[in-house]
Amino acid sequence: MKPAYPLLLALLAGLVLILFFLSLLAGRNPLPIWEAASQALGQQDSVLAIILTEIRLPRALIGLFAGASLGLCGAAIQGLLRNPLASPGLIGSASGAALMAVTVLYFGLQAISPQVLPLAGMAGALLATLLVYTLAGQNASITTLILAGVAINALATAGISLLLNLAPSPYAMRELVLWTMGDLTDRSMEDFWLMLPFTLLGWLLLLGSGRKLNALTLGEDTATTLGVHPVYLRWQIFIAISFATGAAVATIGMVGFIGLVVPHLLRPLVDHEPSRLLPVSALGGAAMLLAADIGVRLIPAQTPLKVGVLTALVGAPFFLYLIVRSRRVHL
Amino acid sequence: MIGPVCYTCRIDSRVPPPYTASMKRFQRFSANHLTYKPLFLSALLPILSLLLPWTLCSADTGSTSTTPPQRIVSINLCTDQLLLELADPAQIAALTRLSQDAPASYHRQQALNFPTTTGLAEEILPLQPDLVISGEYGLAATQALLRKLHIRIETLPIADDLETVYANITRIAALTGHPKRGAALVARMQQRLQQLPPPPAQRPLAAVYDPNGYTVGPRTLRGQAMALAGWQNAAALLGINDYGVLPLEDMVRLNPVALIASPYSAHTWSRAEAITRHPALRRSRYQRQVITLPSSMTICGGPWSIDVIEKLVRARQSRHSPS
Amino acid sequence: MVLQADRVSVEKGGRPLLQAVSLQLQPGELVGLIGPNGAGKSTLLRVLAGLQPPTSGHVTLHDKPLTRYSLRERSRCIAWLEQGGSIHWPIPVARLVALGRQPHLPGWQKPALPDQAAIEAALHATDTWSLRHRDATSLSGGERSRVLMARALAANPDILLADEPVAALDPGHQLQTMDLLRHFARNERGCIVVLHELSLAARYCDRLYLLHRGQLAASGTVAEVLSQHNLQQVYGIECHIGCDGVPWIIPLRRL
Repeated sequence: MKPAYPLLLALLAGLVLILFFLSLLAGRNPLPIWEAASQALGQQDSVLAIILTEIRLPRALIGLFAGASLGLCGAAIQGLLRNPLASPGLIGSASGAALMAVTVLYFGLQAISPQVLPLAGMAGALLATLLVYTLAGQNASITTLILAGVAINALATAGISLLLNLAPSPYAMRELVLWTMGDLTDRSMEDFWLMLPFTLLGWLLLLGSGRKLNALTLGEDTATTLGVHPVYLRWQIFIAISFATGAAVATIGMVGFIGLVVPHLLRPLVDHEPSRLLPVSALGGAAMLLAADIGVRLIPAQTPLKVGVLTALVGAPFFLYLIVRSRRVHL
Repeated sequence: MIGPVCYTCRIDSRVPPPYTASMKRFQRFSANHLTYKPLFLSALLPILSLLLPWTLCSADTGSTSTTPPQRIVSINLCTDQLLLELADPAQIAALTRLSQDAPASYHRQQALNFPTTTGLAEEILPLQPDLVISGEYGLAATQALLRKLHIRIETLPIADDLETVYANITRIAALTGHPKRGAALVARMQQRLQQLPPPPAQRPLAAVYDPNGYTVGPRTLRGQAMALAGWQNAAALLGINDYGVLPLEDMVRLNPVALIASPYSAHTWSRAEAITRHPALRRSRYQRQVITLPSSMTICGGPWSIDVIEKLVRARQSRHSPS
Repeated sequence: MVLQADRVSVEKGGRPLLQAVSLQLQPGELVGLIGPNGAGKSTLLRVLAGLQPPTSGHVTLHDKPLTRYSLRERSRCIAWLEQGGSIHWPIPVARLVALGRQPHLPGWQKPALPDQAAIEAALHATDTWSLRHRDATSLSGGERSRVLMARALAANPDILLADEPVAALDPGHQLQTMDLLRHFARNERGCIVVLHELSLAARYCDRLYLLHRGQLAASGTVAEVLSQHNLQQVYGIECHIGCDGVPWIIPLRRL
């Protein structure tokens, strides 16, 4: 039984709120949240207030917004390319963003201005996406697209590795894992405020693209006769994705699979309609990232797990399921 | 064998030729290795030769030959320092590259006068050493090769406490043929220790906070220094004995009144270094004291370790003096 | 004059697809575009829809050059039905047909009552009302053709350009669709339809244009265009042409 659309939105929003709250509670030590909240609101600089507002709150907020961005961008790119296997990771946005972010962060370019970091992420995402799109060609089959994405991703990841190697800081090389696996640990409110405007800008650009993506269901030519300019739409979506993904990756590194799995899973619930999938994916992405981030804090480990590990643990079996299902269909 | 070949070469004008910046970075790793021992055992570098239980090599501290060795090659940063303290300059054939690195080497100025190696056998052999001194963790391959070529190798353990420092000083002094110098050095150190004021009844809480939140427990040189200087180590409260991570939340909870930092490289950027400037640490009821110990004094143990303790004592005492 | 193409030529990669073809569509007309495969019929239709800019010549809509209309204005006037017709997502048929209303919905406006009415009317007219909850990709070829036609009709355009809309349909639905198109054209609107079914073209179209290798071979009334001579020249076939109440053309053999 498919839930009605408003009900689905309400359920997902509720789930996200619950996970947000749980994210504030999760951590090494129990946090009496009401006490901490009241102390924080009372402007006290107590330990509980600091832990809540400077450590847990930014982590939860970043998880929410970055996760929503990843889900939303996944749905947008799948709608644009009319292919359920597309994702910001596949088309190179994530690795391109990480590459530029690493360049800025480890070579001190952020000293010019803090905004340089998310801007660099955005530029890197756009560049990589354009490269993949140019390589694969306009009406590329999914195979060509995957191949082009693999090539650009490999190039970007090698570049990240090389840059970290050449970076002045001796700690840089060890942080390769943070960038390739994603990490929300100990991000501050400053990181959040830096990420927010670019994220919102990206979301704003995607507003109104839902209907146009719907029109694309009938193919680019028919969509043109319905009043959709396919080239403008492509640019609109690429730039929007670059803003949102770029800001998210610059803050937490490349968290994989959210942009792929969430839209794919939720699409049947909205009757495969691209415009309805956009907000639903955003909520689903936020839920998935928040859940994964709660998970890494609850799993006892010597070195804390990176959040990308958990999303990969969900994503890889999902791919296996896709393979099995496609084999069954072909048999 | 891991070698500098895996790093691209850049010529860095700050570093005197013929050392390239890649070598410099390469050596930073070995220095970090010394500081964060349990975590980077896998990133062994040729400078630190593998431990062979030194009971197996010529353990008699007075060597069989009557003349002390005249061409000593040290392939470990810490043994470099002790060698510079105790041996005659003419006895030293070569030190490690790291000994000329300012953040790593306490005796850098002195070290500049000597040739250096990166610990590779092919660099050691042309020097025709009669004694090679290495640290506890070094490459087995290099060790084995040198032994096969009948070159004498002695290994010293990494010093985690002052007793081991004294033992290493004594051993190096013996190996170089100057046992009296070693004894005198140890005696001076112990005398200075005795002159320290007794620890207070209420020990203030301090924490070593390195990039990535790394901290040290009581069973390390810095940990022991803190204890002797009258501080309480926050790491001990969390059950960390030697090396470990101090999570940000626990740092805020414990709220130590002093942070001890030994920044290896100033003004570089990484997430690791960013965490020491996290806003959560900036907001605090107490004006948190930051005690900076030069990394060249904390990576290796030696007479300067007493300087470290004295500095920590002065820092503790300054808390009660009217500012 | 509703829609006019004036000496339109299209060249692609050095090959001439259309050479100086002129066409006129008057209000209330159902015009047929016929010719062998590769004659340029689809290309001409794309030029008329504004999808393909002509290499030379121009298209006028309501006495104004097509290029001076914005994409949105064009989409309100002209509906184009693709040959074959791809559907990329398995959305419900009702929502697919609702896509046709997009040119008339500004911003985020949800389909209102007049839109709903148009959608329902289109579904009923194409006999796809019973399919409205089905997945669009689970339809048979014929059902899909009719659903896509419903989408085009739901837009309530002034001009409908249909590229082989009856190719996949059974005879009953073929007649239904052609009746629909004629009814559509009668209400002061215009329709150009590309057909291979010569009998249907003869029966329903007011005028015909016969294309051959990118050039206009003949144009005029049905009787003028569908002559034995033209069919031999252009299609290379000999036909039985007759009329008993309704005209019929039966291809006999190839020449």
